[in-house]
Amino acid sequence: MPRERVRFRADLHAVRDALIQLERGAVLGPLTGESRSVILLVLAEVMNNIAEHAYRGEGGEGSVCLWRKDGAVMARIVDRGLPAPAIPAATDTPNPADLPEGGFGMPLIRVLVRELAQSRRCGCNVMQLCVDDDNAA
Amino acid sequence: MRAEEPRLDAAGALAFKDHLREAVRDAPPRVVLDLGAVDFLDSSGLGAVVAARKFVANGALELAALTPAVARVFRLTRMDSVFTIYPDVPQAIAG
Repeated sequence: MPRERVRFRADLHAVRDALIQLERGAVLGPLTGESRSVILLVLAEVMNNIAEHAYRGEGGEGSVCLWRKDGAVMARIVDRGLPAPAIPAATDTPNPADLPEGGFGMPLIRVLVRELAQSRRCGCNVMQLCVDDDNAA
Repeated sequence: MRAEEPRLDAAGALAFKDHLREAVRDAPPRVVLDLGAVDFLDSSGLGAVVAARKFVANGALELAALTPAVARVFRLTRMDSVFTIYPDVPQAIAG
């Protein structure tokens, strides 16, 4: 089974480059466009959070490891930034009527993943998540 | 008005917002943003589109030709409830 690991600098342009690399890679490349776009959106939200919050925009490095398991993509994302806040199990999206310009990231992650686990190990934030190929979102 | 970049993401959100602010200056009262070329939108990109709406007088920024991945983000965040969204540009122009 293909497995792929990509390291990325924690800035928004490097995150974009890493996502483009993963999009064409051994794990995501063979998926349908729809399945691929879901996992790429989740990864984008997680990796941008690392760049903007865990490292506070001051740079650093993270890594993403992807592999296949039972009709799903598994991802482990690791960084050495500040301890990441827990993503609550139930996260409401901001009220559309308020015309919010942010606060969408965590709710999007929550609604798109089947499983999500976060831990802090040896000074690293470790997030492991699972996105089903047939995610109906 | 057409968004030409295939990715409306965190790396490009600020530039997109600045570009749109300029583009809608002295714009007619109704502006349609054609998103047909955008195949990736993240939460920052969505925030930029919401911000752009505030640059248009009376918030009359309407959207057209959302690709499936972009439409999903609008749907999941329920932001499709506050924008007028057309399937394609001709229907948007016909209003």
